[in-house]
Amino acid sequence: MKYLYVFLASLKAKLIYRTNIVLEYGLTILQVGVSIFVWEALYSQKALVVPNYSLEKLNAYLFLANFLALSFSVAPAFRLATQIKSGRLSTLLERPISLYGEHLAYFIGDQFLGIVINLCLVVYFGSLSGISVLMLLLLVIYLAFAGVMFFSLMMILGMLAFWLIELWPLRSFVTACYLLFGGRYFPLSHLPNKFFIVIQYNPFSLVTDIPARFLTVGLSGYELMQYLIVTLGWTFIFLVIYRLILKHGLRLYEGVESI
Amino acid sequence: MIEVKNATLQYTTFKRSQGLKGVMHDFFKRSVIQVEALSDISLTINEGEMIGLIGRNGAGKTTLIKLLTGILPLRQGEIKIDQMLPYQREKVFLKNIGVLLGQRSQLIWDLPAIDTYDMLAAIYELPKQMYNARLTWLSEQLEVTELLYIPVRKLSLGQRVKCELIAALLHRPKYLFLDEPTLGLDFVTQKTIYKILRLENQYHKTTIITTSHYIKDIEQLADKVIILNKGKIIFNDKLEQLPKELTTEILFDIDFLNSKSVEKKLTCAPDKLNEILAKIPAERILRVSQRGMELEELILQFIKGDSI
Repeated sequence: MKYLYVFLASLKAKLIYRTNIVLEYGLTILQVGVSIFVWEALYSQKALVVPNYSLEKLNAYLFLANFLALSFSVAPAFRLATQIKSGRLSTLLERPISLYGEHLAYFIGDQFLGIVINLCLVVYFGSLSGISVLMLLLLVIYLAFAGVMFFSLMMILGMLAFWLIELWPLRSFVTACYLLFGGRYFPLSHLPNKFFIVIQYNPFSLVTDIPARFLTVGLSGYELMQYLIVTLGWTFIFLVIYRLILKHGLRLYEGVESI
Repeated sequence: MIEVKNATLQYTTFKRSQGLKGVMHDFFKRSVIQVEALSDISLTINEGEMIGLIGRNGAGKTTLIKLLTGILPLRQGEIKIDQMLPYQREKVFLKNIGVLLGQRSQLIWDLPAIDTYDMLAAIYELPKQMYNARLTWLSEQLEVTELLYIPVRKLSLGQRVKCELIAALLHRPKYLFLDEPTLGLDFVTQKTIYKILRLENQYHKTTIITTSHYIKDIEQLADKVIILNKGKIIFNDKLEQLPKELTTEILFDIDFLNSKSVEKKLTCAPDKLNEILAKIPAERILRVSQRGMELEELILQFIKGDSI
């Protein structure tokens, strides 16, 4: 029940800033538009072609990958890092609530609109590609687990603030990783095969590239299950690391600038 | 009951070297220094007591509060609150504490305070009836009923502090920790806050621990005072138990005009009065008045005495 109230409070706070929401989605559309424009130029001159992707499918892939990245946001890392640096983490530590649970409920509330939009996109592009309802349901389950996995990674990155004095290196690092390994500029399958075999299992790819690939060029049920197992493996590893880092990090926490 | 036994806390910090050469040296090897924030502190606070925790900046007040609320781990000594170790942050323990910090908000900035209260009621698992009754009583006493539905960012400092106080008291904590509770507030708001805290203590036997640089807070909110200096307790008793030679001391205030005809004030002990008056031309003396020592000065003297 307590987490439901955190979720509701976060959702209400998010909806207050309507301009921010419009700008967030507007800028993403603009960014995707630029990528599409570049790829259209490359395809029209036959300078570069991504295997298995027609221009139409590539456009859909870029659109999906970038919109999914809005929901699988890096915001939890920076919310936690800022709380640690400002000492506001103490407020949470003084309450009978789990730090992980509070942040997860807040994150879902904050991203709720994006989650709804992405679910609509899944249904739309799924029906466009002729994917069965059962497979779409499997994808939604996969996305839920991938969301928890990605969130856990963000919590770990946020907790680096226990050790880091400045937060900007963390922000640059996470953004670079997302752009490089998330397939937000091109499908990761475009990479040389020996790189792709490894990179396809990285956490950033699992939340953007895999679902976008599933909805455009298609993945078999077996392949999706394989990615689901990898996602569960990452989740387990991240939760173990989270607990360890939290235990050690809290010993360094001084709650500076407040009690 | 709060029991602190031989609590000692050290923290590590770094000493920076001067100049470019020093910076280069620090880049490869930093000089680590150990600072003792608290040194062998022992104290007992009984249920329902109102305690004032005072001392100069860096005396260890905030560190002690952080230890008591479970924010910092204790590495040497023991702290128990109702037989629980604060740093373990057991659910029962966390439900029993309330914290109000003058400079840190626990309200959701963009939403009306009522949204934070609804969330807190769920977090502390308050029965709906109790939550409603408590919120009504607190908001009426603090005269903020109309403000509960206005976004927190639109409230004035005084209104916000009152709403913060409700957030800290909503779950009826057994132990309430206040840090500078009246910082920047006007006289009327201060009085309202003193009143409600006194009522909480009377009705619910709430143990209230206040740290403040503002002596009025301590006078109003503390029956017992703990004075900390350089991480050590130098006084732990009722205010009237402060050493008699300090409390009975008489002081003289001399108001005079200096050579630039600007009004100045000097304060001195009786034995120095003639000496000082002899140095000031008689026509420049405006007034000489006698007074007893104020609590603020008394505590300052006490700390100074310990420092020597």
